[in-house]
Amino acid sequence: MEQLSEFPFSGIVGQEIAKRALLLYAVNPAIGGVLINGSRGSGKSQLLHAASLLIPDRLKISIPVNITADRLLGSFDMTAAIDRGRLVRSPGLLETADGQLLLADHMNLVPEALIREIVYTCSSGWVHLQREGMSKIRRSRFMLLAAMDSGDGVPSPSLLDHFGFCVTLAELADPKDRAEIIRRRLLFEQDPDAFRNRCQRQEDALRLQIQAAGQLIPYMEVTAEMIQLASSIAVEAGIASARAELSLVEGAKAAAAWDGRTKVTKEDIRKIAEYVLPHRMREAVEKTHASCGPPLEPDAGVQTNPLADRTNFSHAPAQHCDHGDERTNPNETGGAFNQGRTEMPGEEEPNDSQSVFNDRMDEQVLFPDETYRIEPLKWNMKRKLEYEGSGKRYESRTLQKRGRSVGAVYPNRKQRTDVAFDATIRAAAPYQLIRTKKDGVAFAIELDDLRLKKRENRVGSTLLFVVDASGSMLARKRMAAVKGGILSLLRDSYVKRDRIGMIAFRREEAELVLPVTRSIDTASKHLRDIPTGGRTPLAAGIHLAYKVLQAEKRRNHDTIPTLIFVTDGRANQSPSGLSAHSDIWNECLEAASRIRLAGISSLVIDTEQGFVKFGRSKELAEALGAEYRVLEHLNEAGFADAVRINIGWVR
Amino acid sequence: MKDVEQQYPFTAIVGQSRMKLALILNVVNPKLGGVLIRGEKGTAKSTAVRALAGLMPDLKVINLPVSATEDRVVGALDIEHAIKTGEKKFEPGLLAAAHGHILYIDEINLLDDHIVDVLLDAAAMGVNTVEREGISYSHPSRFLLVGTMNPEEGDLRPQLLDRFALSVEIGGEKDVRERALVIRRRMDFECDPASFSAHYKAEQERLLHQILQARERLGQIEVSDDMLELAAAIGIELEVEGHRSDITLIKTALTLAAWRGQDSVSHEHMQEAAYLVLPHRMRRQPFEESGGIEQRLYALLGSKAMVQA
Repeated sequence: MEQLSEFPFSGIVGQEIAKRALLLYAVNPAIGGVLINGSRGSGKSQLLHAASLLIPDRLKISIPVNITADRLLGSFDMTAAIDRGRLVRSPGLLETADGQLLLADHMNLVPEALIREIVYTCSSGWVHLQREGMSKIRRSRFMLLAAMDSGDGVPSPSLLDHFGFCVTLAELADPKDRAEIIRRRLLFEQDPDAFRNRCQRQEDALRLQIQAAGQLIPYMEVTAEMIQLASSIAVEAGIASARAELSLVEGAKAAAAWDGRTKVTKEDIRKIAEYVLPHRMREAVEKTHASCGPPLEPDAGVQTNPLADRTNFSHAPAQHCDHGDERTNPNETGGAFNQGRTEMPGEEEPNDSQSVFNDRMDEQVLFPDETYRIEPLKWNMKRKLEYEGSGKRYESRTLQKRGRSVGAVYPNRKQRTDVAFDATIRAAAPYQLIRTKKDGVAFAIELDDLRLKKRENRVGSTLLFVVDASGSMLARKRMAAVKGGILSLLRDSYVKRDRIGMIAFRREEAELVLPVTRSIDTASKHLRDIPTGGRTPLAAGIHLAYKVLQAEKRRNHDTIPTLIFVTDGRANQSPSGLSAHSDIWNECLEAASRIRLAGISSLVIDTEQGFVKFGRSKELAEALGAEYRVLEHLNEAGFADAVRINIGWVR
Repeated sequence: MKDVEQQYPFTAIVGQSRMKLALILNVVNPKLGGVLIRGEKGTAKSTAVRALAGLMPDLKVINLPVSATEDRVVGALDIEHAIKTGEKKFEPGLLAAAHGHILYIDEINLLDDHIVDVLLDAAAMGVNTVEREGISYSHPSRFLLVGTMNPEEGDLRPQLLDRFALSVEIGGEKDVRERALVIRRRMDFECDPASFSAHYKAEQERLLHQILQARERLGQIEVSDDMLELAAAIGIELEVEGHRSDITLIKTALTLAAWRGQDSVSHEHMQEAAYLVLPHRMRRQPFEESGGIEQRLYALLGSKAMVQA
């Protein structure tokens, strides 16, 4: 059967910018790791594997998603323990990878603590071992090729900074190119050998060129002026890390060597900037957004959607790279990033208006960028205590048998199942010489040796927003603030393992418009387009919320579900067809008490405005047994804070 | 595991033709990449999957229960062997068992996140690499991924959705006579499985023969450049992410042509394939009336048909 991992590099259609990044890295490993970001099915795995075939004299070591700390960092060798009853250190992948090539295909699905070890080792060249009684520092220099789908969540900026280059794969828009991709894929699957043979000459040529260019690297001339240019580009981009400049210079060396030159030019440095800046600028963009608006936009007056900058970190830099560049063709410097994946034609942001009228005249789509303010809420001690046990908003260690095994712990009196045999055997090893062994057993284990698996489950919180999308939410663009708030909560959800979903109710029914996710991309795509307008079927919203959370609890037993209702409580539409207002309201209260009885905690944010207030949301909160807050002037950050504080997160 | 004789015959399943087609296409072309069956409880989803295995000699159904732990999925150290002999031995998990067979996950949308991650990793390259808890091992793992889910209980991650070549949406049979037929056959089967199966033996063999014939023909099917470009144009116009859907669309059309006994991929094959390949990959529009996806597909393929003609 054909191995897709053997698809040749030169058989890949398009993706020239990513290909060049990989080739340059092959020429000069001092660039630091390369990260390929791309949506599902964009060919990132293929690209990585294909590139690895070109890199000479290195073994390819894969990092699977299931990797545990002992295999990555090293541990005591189980075979030696059982066989000889002795503790012998066995090196982890980070050590054996010295001089080789590490391949992390779904990097962002690996636990973040382990990603950190991988990228730190790659950029420092040292493995630091401090575990299981081992204390060692070892040299390890390897090449790192990683891929991720940012729809699955994006690692923290500090981790991304450790990658020399990052490329986001562009979607090919030309049908001819896409047809060619299909054609070649069919050919390859039909006869992989013949396909590889056809690419052989090109592959050999690439290998030769990599080799030849690699030999020029030590003789490369980099003037002080060039180094200064690299620094000023990094500084202008608002990047604090010196790694950017180093990668910039090393990358420029590779680019010059690739062309057979021995002197780095301005042009080399500028071209490399697009590989070095985008993943590092995300943080810079976020910081500046928090303080003083978007200074990176050339036209300060045009308020583009801040989401685009924050969620698609490859988006921002292109404009910037052009700055101070005598070549003003934006396609040349920013091509890879401007053909961006999320920016679809017809989905352009409105420049001067925050709302777009739908076909239906009573509906609007409000983009999440409105500014309102909410008074900071006080800590709620009761709630905080309630959640402190398990709700660390990060992976919680559980003694249940679910979750990813991350190590071993001593058993307690009650719990003797879920044994971590590897750790148990290592614990028993030193005593083998003095223990008497039973018949038919090579190894004697006693109760004291017993270790249990320490498991990590993505607990975090599941926040389900139940949002009034009826006509009344149009007033003063409250919907925009709510959308913005939800996204700002999602933005750090990758690290925190929170899951966020959203139900909108309007017109006749309630709909799960954002299925519970921690994917920023999915969320922003769904959220942006939710229209607002029509009647208020509040009870339908409550019913659906109950159903979705029950399903969520089934899927993830350890989850801490919280419902957040955002409504003025003016229900005027019944899912069961009631017409009298009092009946409709009673229906809501009944549904609410069902949620209270199920022990689901909730928060009601009251959006009622105007002189005449009905106070319905307060009633709703009581029926839910919920915390109650009044929305005054809410901005997205304020909204996010309100939620954070209420469910007891520590920021 | 149940005997083959005890298996409800595939050909005895009433209706659900699209689901049956999707399953058969995957057997005809094992490189296609699986089926996701979406629908309510009691719509013969798992019966069909099991029956498919009953149809093919040497095809097994490996069940991955939602409660499975990571070590059982990817494999782990054989502790007993280690302690008895002092040797380290890999005890293969479900991904190894599923190699060359059907990996069946009922209620796949309720699967733990990290199990989904592991599945994605293995499905991507057809290899299961294990680096955990003292074990370092790797083995081929290519399987026909069949998942079932009730969409009301929550969606799948888009990344996993995209791994399924085909998807079918199934509902309960609406026709009273058909429903009665479902009940009658079920009762007959339970009353006397052996004679019920015997009754369908000839039909089962005929279907198997057809499948084997289609497999042989698959290598010879021709696909024109026009069809390749049509696949690309569909992907672009429907804003489907990535190239996997383009490739799958063509492969499905090829398989359909082979299944229907034709020599080349026609526009009709593309159209039929599109309904299996695209719905779960298209970006869902909020508040979209149900049927919207069908309409967009219809509008697009309809207009393309005009262009072709």
